[in-house]
Amino acid sequence: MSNSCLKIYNVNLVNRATLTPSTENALFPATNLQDYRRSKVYRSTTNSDNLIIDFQESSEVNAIFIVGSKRDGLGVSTVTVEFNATANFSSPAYSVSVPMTEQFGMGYVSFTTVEYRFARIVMTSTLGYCELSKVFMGKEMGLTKGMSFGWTFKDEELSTKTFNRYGQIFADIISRQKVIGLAIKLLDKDDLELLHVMFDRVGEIKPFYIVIGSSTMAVDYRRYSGPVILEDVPTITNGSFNRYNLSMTVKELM
Amino acid sequence: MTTLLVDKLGTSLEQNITVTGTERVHIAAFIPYIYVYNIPAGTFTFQLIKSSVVIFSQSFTSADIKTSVGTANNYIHSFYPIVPTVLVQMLAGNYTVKITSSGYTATEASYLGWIRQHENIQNGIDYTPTSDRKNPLAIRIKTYKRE
Repeated sequence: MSNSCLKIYNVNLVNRATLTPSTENALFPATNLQDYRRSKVYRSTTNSDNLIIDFQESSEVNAIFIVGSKRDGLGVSTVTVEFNATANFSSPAYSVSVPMTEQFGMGYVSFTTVEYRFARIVMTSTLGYCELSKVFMGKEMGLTKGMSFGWTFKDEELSTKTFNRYGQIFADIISRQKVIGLAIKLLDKDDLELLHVMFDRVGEIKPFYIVIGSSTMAVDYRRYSGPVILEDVPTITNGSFNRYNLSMTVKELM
Repeated sequence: MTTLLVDKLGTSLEQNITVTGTERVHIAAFIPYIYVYNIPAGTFTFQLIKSSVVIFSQSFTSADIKTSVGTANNYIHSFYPIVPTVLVQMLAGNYTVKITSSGYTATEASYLGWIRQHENIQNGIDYTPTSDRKNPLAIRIKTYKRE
């Protein structure tokens, strides 16, 4: 199977960037975008706002994720991201609209790599404010050598359930969490090294972003995509000469 | 026999609504109960208004409604789903839903109307109608439900 069915993004430029919002609710500062919890959100004060992101140096980007909070979902109607070499966005060098899905509370777009120092997120909303929980901007890890890849998916119920003696259910409703099992086989040493670098970076703590599948293999492949954390740093097996196998379980970032 | 109580659209028709609940709701469709009399020409625009500001609008024609219903008939009453092409979210509070027109003139030969209905299983009325004409312009709002 081609590795185009699994895309991994693990270096989020937003986390080390300087963020300058056009407006900001002091209770929901833009720096919340750099927190790992999806409950921590940035919120503006009007229906039409923007957020300038300074990567501090010219940086490569070929994908963007926009993620809503797990509890309330997305807090924006439209998002366009502009890129430029300077912080003056009167005529941005590159602009891309991020298609959003209310159903899965996220937006995702990939494109040919661009390299700029500044990005500006232009948002509109109908809520009286614009709200973002997490934003990823960066470059796909780029496993390039081909591999065999399979996966499992489970939407794990986090609600606390009890049953009385009549079989009636009583639930403390929380939410569900996607749990995805990835089985990757026949990696070569170069792609394995890329994964090693990612494991060193994220461990079992820091989020990274995945996209599984394409529009030809799922009605909406974004169901299987988004921010995740590793459940365990995986065990790597040397199955045959210069070919490596690993399986890892990732959980949706909450 | 069913009697429809229709407000004929002149320039615009509007209805105040109140959203209750504590959580942000994500709109899948606004579904006004529309009466089409002989496919009037023109473009109609559905608007969602909050504090006198239009926060969402989307246009449709009477032909769109005819296509949606899938009929050859030019006389239609239907809950017509306006599915937002951009994401729309609402919070608890007061809103106005409004239909305006452009390039349209209501005549006895053709017009668009919005049907009044008494409270139903989806929407309650927070006042006591003193006549059928005081019933609200009917609309259903479908939301995405996420847990």
